[in-house]
Parts: sequence; C-alpha cells; structure tokens
Amino acid sequence: MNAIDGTSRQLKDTEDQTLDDTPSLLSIIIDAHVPSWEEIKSQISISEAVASILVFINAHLALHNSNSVNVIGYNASGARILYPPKSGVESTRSKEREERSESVSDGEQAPSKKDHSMYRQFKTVDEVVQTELWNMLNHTNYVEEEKQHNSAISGALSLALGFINKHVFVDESRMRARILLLTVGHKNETIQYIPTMNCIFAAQKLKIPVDVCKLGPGSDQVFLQQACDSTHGIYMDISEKNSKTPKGLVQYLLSGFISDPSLRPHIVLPTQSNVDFRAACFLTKQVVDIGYVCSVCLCIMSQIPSNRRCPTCDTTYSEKTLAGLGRKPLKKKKKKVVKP
Amino acid sequence: MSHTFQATNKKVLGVLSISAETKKLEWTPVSGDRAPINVNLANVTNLQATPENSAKIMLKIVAGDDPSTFAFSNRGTMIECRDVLQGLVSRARREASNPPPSATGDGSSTPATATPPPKKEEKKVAMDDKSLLADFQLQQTLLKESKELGKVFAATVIHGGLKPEEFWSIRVHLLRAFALTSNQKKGPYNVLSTIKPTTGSDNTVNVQLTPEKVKDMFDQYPVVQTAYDDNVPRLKESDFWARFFQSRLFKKLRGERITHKDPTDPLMDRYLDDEYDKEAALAAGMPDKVHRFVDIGGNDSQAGSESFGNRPDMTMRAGSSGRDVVSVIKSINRLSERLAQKSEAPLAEKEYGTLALADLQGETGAEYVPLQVRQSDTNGNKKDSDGDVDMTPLDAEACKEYVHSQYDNPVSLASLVHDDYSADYAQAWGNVQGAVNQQKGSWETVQESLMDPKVLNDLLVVHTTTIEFLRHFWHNFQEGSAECSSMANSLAKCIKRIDAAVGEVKDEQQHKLAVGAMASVKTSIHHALKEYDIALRG
Ligand SMILES: [Zn+2]
Repeated sequence: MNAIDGTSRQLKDTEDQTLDDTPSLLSIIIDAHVPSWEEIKSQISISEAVASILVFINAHLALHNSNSVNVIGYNASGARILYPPKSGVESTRSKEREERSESVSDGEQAPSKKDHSMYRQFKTVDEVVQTELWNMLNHTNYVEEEKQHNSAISGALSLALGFINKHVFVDESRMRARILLLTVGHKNETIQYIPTMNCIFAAQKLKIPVDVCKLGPGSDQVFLQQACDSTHGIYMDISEKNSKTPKGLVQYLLSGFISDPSLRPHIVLPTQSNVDFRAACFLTKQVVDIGYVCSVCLCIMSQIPSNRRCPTCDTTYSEKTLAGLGRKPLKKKKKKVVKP
Repeated sequence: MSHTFQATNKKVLGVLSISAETKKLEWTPVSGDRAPINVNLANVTNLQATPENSAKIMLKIVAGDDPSTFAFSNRGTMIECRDVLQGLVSRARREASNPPPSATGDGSSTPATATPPPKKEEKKVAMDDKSLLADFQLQQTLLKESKELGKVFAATVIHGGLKPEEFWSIRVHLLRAFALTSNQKKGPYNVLSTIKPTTGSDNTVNVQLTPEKVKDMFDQYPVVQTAYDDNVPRLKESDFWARFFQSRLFKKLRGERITHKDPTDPLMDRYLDDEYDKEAALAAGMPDKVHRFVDIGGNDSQAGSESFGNRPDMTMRAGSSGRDVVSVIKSINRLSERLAQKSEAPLAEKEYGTLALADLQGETGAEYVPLQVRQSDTNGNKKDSDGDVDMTPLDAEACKEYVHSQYDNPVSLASLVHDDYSADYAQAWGNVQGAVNQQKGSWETVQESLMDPKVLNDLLVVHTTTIEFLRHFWHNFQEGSAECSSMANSLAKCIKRIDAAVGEVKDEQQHKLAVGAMASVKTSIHHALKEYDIALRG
C-alpha cells in the first residue's frame, strides 16, 4: 500500500489545489454497444458491470455529501445523458419498469425492489441509471448501428464536458470534476480523431482528468491513451488482450479509479506508462509513422491527397512543392519523422 | 518666444533674433547703415558651424542660394544659437509641408492628424533566399547571437562534415527573421521615466545626466527647455537641474500626482502653469479644429448625458482635483503623440484617422478562419472498401436475447460485496498494485535520479547532430537529390556516434538511462535507412 504514496514527488501544479473540503463531480461514460458486451460475456456480464459501476458511483457519493455524478451512455448511433434524468422522465420510466419487472419475474430480484433501508440518494441514482441504460440497450437497432463504424466516444466526451462546464464552471459551484470512460471496444471501432482530440484539449485546458478503463478486445485505443496522458488521468487496460481480465471490475474501479482529483498530485497513479503518441492520418484514419503535415493547418496525411488540396483547410498545394516531394530517382515520397 | 544672440555679420556687430512665432530669423546691426538680414526659417536648407578646434566661431545659414555667415564671440553662444535654429528650422519645415488647417467656420471636418516627419533613408536589407544565404556576415552574427544554433553548427558543420550551405538551406527563415530583427531600430522613449533621482547619504539628490538625456528632455518636454533658457545663464546649470528634479514640475511631467507635501519652488512652479504648456501644445502641432466625432468640447453644445442629471466625466469636471488629473492626462497624451510622430514608421494620415476613431469603439472579438473538417466517405473506412477485414455478420437476435436475459436477471449490488473475497478481486487488486509499482519505478528513474548533467549534455549534442542529419536526409530524399547518398552515409555514422556516446557511460544506471534516451532517435535512423534502401531498390 505504501507504493501508492507519492508524496515524495514534487507537488507541482498544486498551488490552486489545496486539500480542502471541495466536493467533486464524477462523469461516467459507459459503453452501451451491445454486440461488444455480448462478445465478452464469458468474462463479465453486462449486469455485473452495471452493478459494479453503481457500487462505484455510490462509493463516490458516499465520500462527500455534496459529491455528484453524471452518467452518459454511448453506442455507435449516439450518446446520451442517462443521469441526471430530464425532469419528469424519471417517474414515468421507473414506474413502467416496475410494472414490467413485476410482470416478467416475481419482482424480488429486480433492482428496484422496495428496499427502504437504502440511502435515498443511492437508490435514486441506481434506479435511474439502470432504467435509462436498459432502455438504451433495448431500444437500439443493432443492425443499423453496426453499419456505423465511428463510435460516439467523442460525442459522449463532449456531453460530459458540456455537463461539467454547465454545473462546475458556469454555475461556479467550486467543484472538481473528472471523467471516467468505461469502454469495451470492438474490432471495427474507429474513433473520430479530430473530435476526440478536441475533447482532450478541452479537458486538458479545464484541468479535468480523463480516466479510461478498457474491458474489451478492441484495438489499442491510441487516442484514449493520449487523453489520459495529457489530462493526467488513469489509463487501465484490463482486457484479455493485456493478459488481464475484467472479472472483479468493482475491485478495479474502487481501488484504481476512486481517487479524487485533489488527491491525484499526491499519489502514484496506476496508469499505463508507455503511451503511443502517434497521430492518425486525416485521409485514411490510420495511425501513421511518417507522413505529411499541411503547413497551413497542421493536418496529417499519410499520402499526397489526389486532388492536391488539403482535406481540412482546402489549401491548394503548389505544383512546385508537390513535384519536389516525389522526384526520381527516389520514388517513395515520405516526409517528416514522427517519433514514436 | 524668441531668442536673441549677439553676432557679427561681415564684421558688423548686430543682434540675431530668432522668433518661434513668426518662424523668422532676423539680424539687425547695432550701428551703421547695413541693411538687416531676414531669413524665413522654412527656407533654410543647411546649417554649418565651424569645428570645435577651429579658431573661428562661425555659423553659416544657407537659405536658397544666399548663405549668410555670423560670427560669435564665444562658442557656447554659437552652439546654443545653432541648437535653437535646428529645432525651429525642422519644425518650420514640417509645418510648411503640412500647413495648419485653415479655419472654415464652426464644425469644420478637419481630421486630427499627426504630421509625419520627413522620411529617413532606410537601409534596404535584401530578404530573398539567395542573398540571405550569401550573407556570411549575417550568418556569423546569428551564430554568435544564438548559442543553441551555434552548438548545432559546430557539431554538424565543423565536426560533422555538413556543408554550410546545406546547414543554412533549411534555415532561411531563421536568417530572414534575424535580418529583420537586427535591422530594427529603437524608437524614441519617454526620457523622464528613465531618470531616477536617488537620495544620497548626505541628503543630496543624485541624478545621472548625459548630454543625450538632456537633449531628449528638451525635445520631449519643451517646457523644460523654456525653463532652462529662461534661467540658466542666471542660475548655475547644476543648480537648475537640482531644483528641477525636486520640483513639482518634474513630478507633473512624469505623470505623478502633486500633493501639498511636495516642496514649492517659485522659480520652477511658474512653469506648472498651463500657459507654458499650451504653448508647447501648439508648437507640437495640435490642430485648432478637432474632428467633430472626437471633439469632446463639442459635447457642451449638444444635449449630453449631463443634461439628464449625470455627473460629468472626471476629465470634463472643472475644479481643483479634476484639473490636476486632466493636465497629467493631457501631458502624457501629448508626449505619446509626439513620440509616435518621431518613431520610424509614421502612421499614414488615413491610418491615424481610423486609429483615432477605432480607439473609441468597443473591443472586437478575435477572428478565426473556420476549418472545414470533412468526413471523407470515399476513403474513410479502409476496412469496408478493401474488404480485407472479415466482418462476422452480426447476430442481432443473439444480442437482443442477451440484453433481455441480462435485464431479467440483474446482479444485485449486495451480491458483489457479500461474496467472499474472490480470486478475481485479489487479482484485480494485484494488477492495480502492479501498475502503481511500475509507475513508481519509472517515475523514480526518470525524475528522481536524474541523468548526470555531463552525460546528458554529451547525449544532447549527439542527439541534436543526429536530428540535423535526419532533417537533411529527408529533405534530400524527397527532392531526389544526389546528396541523399552522402546523407545516408552520415546517418550511418550517426549510429556509430550514438553508440560511442552511450558506450562511454560506464555507470550501470546511467548507461541504462542513456540507452533509453537514445532509443527513439536510433529507431528513426533505422527507419530512414530502410526507406532509402527500399527506394534505391525500387
Ligand atoms: Zn491544411
């Protein structure tokens, strides 16, 4: 346990973060892409994951009575806020759910069982998150969704940042905020580079740590690693690919991700140390080793665009410059070294 | 204001008077029948004084093609006369080229403009690539100026065998920037702000004064010159300055508020009066007529906010406290304007006009160029178009079923915690701890036990050199230049150099750090050489 103690390290950037009684806002983004969950069902069931997240949320709420939470779900077709609910929606949905659960099972196992011994705030969050999440999972057209390859991670991050901005910065509520992204990830997932990077920069500027917990087999999410690295968040890959297992998720969440932003400068974070800093080509969306950079807008290309114009800023490149890039006897045309 | 000097013209003693108001120089003989000499100052094209070591003390004034020579009895008078003439001549000339606006009734629309001083000859510096690359002097100065660049130059060109032309060819922009900055001249500055009287131990005020500073002071604050002219022969020069720097006038000119605690000095306090300043303002070319848009005085004739019961603005208030502030503001404004006029790049009349108007407007937001990020559908999803990724068809039914089964059998929160501490949890905890330990380890090696400064410095030099060669390699590579092969050789040498530098680090821990530090640049070299190989064979 002593290993976590990082107080020996220099406390930089901490002048404005005195250890006071400031509450914090936790924004959790949950992957609601059903086929991905189905793929890893042998390791962790979706309902166990949901239960783990709820325990984590309750733990966060228990740490300070002004702590608050925001839950966002995303799949390939979009992202939406699950908690806090829009006013009015809560009651009807949970009623519907109660009726439904009673008709399907005997109602005893349903999470909305009338347990009056439970702390009221926990109960509200638990019920709303479950109702809304199941609702999202049930009402998605998986076939249509599958045609979309772009995941809505950037959309979910934007929602989270927007929520935080409204409740922390606009309302000046003197709260700290952080984002936890729980992603399963699937093989064909493509993260939109520019929107995601923009979210990362925004979070970095607002000093909001972005934590990522990756459960599934999806390809290495370079940009998410960069997100954690640049915002001083925690990146943990607990998928089989990283020879770990998402079993015991609640333990990972409670021991790895519970630390409040105010504590972060003082402890050693269980994050991944070697981060891949490469960028993606704007044309092919692939991560590039060596590529071209637009001198006007810094857009990255792995090949010379066929129309000789920048795909982002529409600058027409001069024939002379382009000719200079691909002269004989050396046919290959590569530029600038992007060091890993 | 006029100045009079005793001067001899063609061996006849007379009085030379120079008037600022009429802008004329007049010489009248004390006796005899010689006709007086009249010179319009605006026509003066040349002033010549005999050199200091010359026995004669004479001043030659050329106006048109008719020079007149005046002899003085002592050098001090001559120099004073020359200085006065110089100031007035340049002012008269300026006004002659920009005649003061004629009054055309009330509400004339003469814009408030600055009179641009005569353009100085600019030393043209060639900014094209070719002449920059050929300017060895410029390159040498830049290398001396920028230590970092000098180091790279020494490592790559002097010791690394890179041609200097190659070195500069990719740094033309640095040369250009340097040429531009080094050709810039300092503009005039507010001289009083640089004079800081200090009180010595014996309670005397010490001021460092140089002839330049005195000249600048006269230039920027004509009232000081007036005071000096009026008093100095009577008063000792040093006494004058001593009294000036302790006076209220000095405080006022510096833009400080005068309090009743400040000592009074009847001699100096005379010049506090606006009379003297008004003259200065007029002399500085303040227009009589102000553009109506910026004419604050014009507000009086209009139904301003004051007629609705609002208190006038602080600068518009009559009264003792207000006037102090106003006169401070005025004198600072005047000074700024005069300094702006003297600066090298005078604002064009039109620009000045827009500036004056834009000054009164609110802040404008930053302008951005929108970048159109298009989601290119054509080659966006490589996996689809190529079809090289085998997409297992989605079993929508299975997914649906899974969700339903999960929905119907939710895991209760209690069951997560009530279970015995399972192996999964233990493993999870172990993994978190492992990550922490790894972080701590890497953190300690990188941050706590820093690299030995000497080792770090050696590696930095090698690293910079390598990056330099890599840059040239890729530059040549794309241009398909024949130099590429020699650059490839240099890169191969770079690897040896890196290995040698790393090999020299004997300490085990330091060696490990060194290897790690140089790993990525080595990867870059290998990558470059591989590309070169492929290109050669292809
Ligand atoms: Zn561009």
